[in-house]
Amino acid sequence: MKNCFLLLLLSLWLPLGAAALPDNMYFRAMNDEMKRTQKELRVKGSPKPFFTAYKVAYSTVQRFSAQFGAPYDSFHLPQTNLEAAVYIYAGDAKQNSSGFVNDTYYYRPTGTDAIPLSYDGLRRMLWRLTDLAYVAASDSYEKKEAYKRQKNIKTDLPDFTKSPKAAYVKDIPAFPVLDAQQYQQTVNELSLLGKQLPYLEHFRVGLDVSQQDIYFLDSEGDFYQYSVPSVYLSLSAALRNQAGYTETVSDNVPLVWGKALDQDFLLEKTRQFLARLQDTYAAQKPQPYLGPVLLEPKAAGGFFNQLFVRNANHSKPLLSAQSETDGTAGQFKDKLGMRVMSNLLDVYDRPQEAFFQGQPLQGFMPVDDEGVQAQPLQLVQGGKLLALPTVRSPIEGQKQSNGHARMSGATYPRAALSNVFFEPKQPLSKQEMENKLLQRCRDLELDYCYILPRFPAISGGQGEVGFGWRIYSKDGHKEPVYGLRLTGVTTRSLRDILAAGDDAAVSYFVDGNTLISSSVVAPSLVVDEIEILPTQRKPDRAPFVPLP
Amino acid sequence: MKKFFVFALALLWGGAAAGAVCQMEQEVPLRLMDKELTRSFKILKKQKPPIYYLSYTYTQGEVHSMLVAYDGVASSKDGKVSVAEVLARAGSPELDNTHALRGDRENWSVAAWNAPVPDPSDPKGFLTAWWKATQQAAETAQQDFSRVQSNVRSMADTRDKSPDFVFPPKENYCRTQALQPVDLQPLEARLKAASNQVRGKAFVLSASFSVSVEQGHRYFADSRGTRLKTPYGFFRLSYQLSGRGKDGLEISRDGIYDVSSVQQFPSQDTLLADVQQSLRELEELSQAPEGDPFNAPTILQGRAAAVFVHEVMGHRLEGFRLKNAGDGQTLAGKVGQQVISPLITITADPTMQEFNGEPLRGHYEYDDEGVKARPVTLIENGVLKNFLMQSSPIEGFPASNGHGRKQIGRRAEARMSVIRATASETVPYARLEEMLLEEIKRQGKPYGFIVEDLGGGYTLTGTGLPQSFKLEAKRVFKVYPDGRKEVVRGLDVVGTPLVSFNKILAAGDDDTVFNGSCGADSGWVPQSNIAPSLLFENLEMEKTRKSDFKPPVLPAPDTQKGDEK
Repeated sequence: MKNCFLLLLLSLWLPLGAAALPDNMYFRAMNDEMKRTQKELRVKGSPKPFFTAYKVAYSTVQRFSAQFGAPYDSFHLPQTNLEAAVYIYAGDAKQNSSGFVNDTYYYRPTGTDAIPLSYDGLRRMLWRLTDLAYVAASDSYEKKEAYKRQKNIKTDLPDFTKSPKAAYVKDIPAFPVLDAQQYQQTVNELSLLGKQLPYLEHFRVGLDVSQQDIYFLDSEGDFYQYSVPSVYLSLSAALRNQAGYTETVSDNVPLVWGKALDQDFLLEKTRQFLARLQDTYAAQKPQPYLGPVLLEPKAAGGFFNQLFVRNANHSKPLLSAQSETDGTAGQFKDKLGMRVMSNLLDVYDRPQEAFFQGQPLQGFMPVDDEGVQAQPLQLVQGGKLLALPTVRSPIEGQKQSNGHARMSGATYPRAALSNVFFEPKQPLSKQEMENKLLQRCRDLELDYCYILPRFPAISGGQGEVGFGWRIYSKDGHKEPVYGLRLTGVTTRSLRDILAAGDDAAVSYFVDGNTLISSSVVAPSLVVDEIEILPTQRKPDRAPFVPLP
Repeated sequence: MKKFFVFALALLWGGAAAGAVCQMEQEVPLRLMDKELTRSFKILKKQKPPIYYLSYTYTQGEVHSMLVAYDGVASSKDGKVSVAEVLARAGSPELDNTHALRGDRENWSVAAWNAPVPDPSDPKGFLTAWWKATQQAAETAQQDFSRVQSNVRSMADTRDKSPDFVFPPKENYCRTQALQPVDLQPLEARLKAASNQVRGKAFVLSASFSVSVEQGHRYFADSRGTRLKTPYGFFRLSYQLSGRGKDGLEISRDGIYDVSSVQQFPSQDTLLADVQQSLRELEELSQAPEGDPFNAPTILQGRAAAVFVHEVMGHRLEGFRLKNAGDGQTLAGKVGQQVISPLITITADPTMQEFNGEPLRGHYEYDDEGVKARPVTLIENGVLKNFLMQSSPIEGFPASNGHGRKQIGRRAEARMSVIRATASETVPYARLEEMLLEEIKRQGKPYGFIVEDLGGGYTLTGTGLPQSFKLEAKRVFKVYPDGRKEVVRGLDVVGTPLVSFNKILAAGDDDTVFNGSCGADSGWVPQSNIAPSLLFENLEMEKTRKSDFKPPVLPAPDTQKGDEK
């Protein structure tokens, strides 16, 4: 079964050329309220609004889901949501309200969702959000100045730098509404495959199609408009493995735009997931291990996201009266020019790239959220850190924005990477990578090494991944293993990369604090030394009643 | 402290009047539930501690909703509901896992195990989901029971030594009702037209217009052999308008239409006329002076009186509160005694489907514990007779009277259904106002009050705080001895239940329905209140809480001259 509705969408993804403010309801409402704000919004005795920005997103989602052959939690008609976020910097270019946490926990714009889809509805909501944003900015300005006086903070760097006007406009395609009966039937049939494994406690298959149309306007006349499509095959299952541990396994397979509904492809992915479940069921407990590990491309994506991307983000720490240090600031902020990773790979950030091998890139951003044209960056060359993402508030060593201000409903614009590419200088084939791992394994006189398909979230140098393989140095055979607790994982591991593959794949990440999406394009890696311990989880009791 | 809110804009739970008797054995969900429940219970009852009672509830239906404001659709949903809930009781009826823990409220907030389940069209997924929920419910019940045993051994005795559970009588009932075809699109234009009435009104800070439909069937099975299938249907159209003064005081008006079918929603002409009236009232409120705290003769008009009965007395008639050492137990030991004005009788009757043509959302056929609904006289001519009961006995009341209620995901407790206050003598409303003026003069007060609308509020029932209430008077008039009326804003009705209910002097003949949803320990439940206007010798008013925020600096865009669309 092939469908070409998504190709139609793709064909509409064309640049308009010279950018004029689009004449649509969103920009009319934003522009009208922006003009009024600039002209009239003042409170006597408070700093004036210096820079104002509106970001509006209209989302459409359609979902088909089934469990063991029966419909489950589907919404056949597209669900829509219009949301907006507004921020204001009060003060002036030299000193304004930005970069100060005026709340114990939050550094975020005013925003809301479920906005009525009409000029009046959006305009009214922008009016109220602008007012709240101004109240917050005025308050932040006063408190920031008081804090700087109290801590004797003096700097020659301004709070805001000029930037050339930027604009980007792509036509917004209509959301392609899928035939409910046909696609519900597709997921029903895929989920029936779960019956082949009698020990599954649930098995769900979903097809999620979504599109987010984004509109941005700031008070300097910068603007952008584009649409972000995505299609996923979502798979999830729960089982109790032979040792009595309950394992929940899930996977979101980003589908190639345009091939999204190729049933053969969906079937192949579902079968791969079932094979993974069989391995999970049969997996053995690991023994303590210290040695080389092969990270498959998705695991390498997680590895780089945890150790590189997070540390390159937020290069300018926030000021806060609640805390002397900004725990969200990346560790690389003081390491420009220093060696931060193996010289086997160079690293780039390419915010203007929208697709990789047909899959949409979640960090796509032609203009950033402070109205600056997003620039491609070479971040690492020969292992040395060359650049960091910056915003209009400069840092030592990088005094202009390179267009990496990224905002969401959970954060004001902060410096963050978008689509990060890790490119090996001498990529190896899959077989060469395994050979490299086994050779290193033998050199260290280890009976086996590990291959990890996923990399865990790391906190305090530790994280747990539910599944991996042991690969034996003697004959190369593999055994599934569960409950792998990685420990002592630090940025040091970036310098321990021994080899990189030619199998680059895209992984998507959403920062848990800022809700900023990014993509990492990374190949498989051999990392020289990772410590693995068995899980500390306890097995569950056997069920009172056997599965039906 | 416990808070209770009557939230008028929640979804409507309306009674399904019609429908056909169905054959239990042909109902696939019930057949599958029966199979898994029977299989599980055989094993679970032999565990240590035993699961001595098990019940399954399955809700299968659909939801439709649309929210409109300022000529645009803010949200629109059409979805299916397919949710399984499992309740397991560990121990014995005398002492089980639901026993209230002293010094620890955690036990009462434990949710019943619930999960969305696949459609029963394929038995494998449906049965597996029940199996998993049953395992989790049984494990949790056993853990909770251990805590209960420890707590009972180490903490002080409770006054009421009644068992934790009484088995509900076995029931078999099957009624089905075809779901109404629902297309909300035709209502979009009606709601948009209503929303456009707000355009240019500077005193309106926000406005919303919504319609919602919930309909489907509820299936119930338990280990005592009860098997039930009952339909439900909720249809509501509503709007809310609000504003805020420079002093931060918030004002609002709303309109609610509870009906039995999509066709019965108000016409555009009716809706527009009502919105215009609400806008006039909101504008009047926006210009009204702030009221001052005062104790004076007061009339609560029908809708306000209905809310008052619910909040101030209704919650104190929920039987489980008399078992809980942490509750104030206002009415403990008072059965057979006069507790309120002898003029007033209060009943609960979930079998009432409508009143004067208006559907009652508090109606149901069987409660959430599978007990048949029945009318109960709670207070008769001021004398306490009975309590709202679930399947957890209290001293003197050993069985449920069909009031065990909950929202999906919670454990049932005794809650209100259709609460009705009636008076042994009534007068026309006009006479009630004359009596108010006479009372103001008799007491030598400079003015009294007429409260037209009471909104949300709360009643404190815990022992840690005074047994008092505070209800927001959303539209209230000062009434001077010469009959002149002046609308004021910013007042709440406050007091204590026994004192205030004994101050009722007279009642009108204008019984009024207030449909709402009530949120308390067992979650939000649909509920109805009926009461006539009531004249009180006096009620106390105090200032209401204000917002910290001023109105926006700039006027609303559609109210500013020269601002073109």
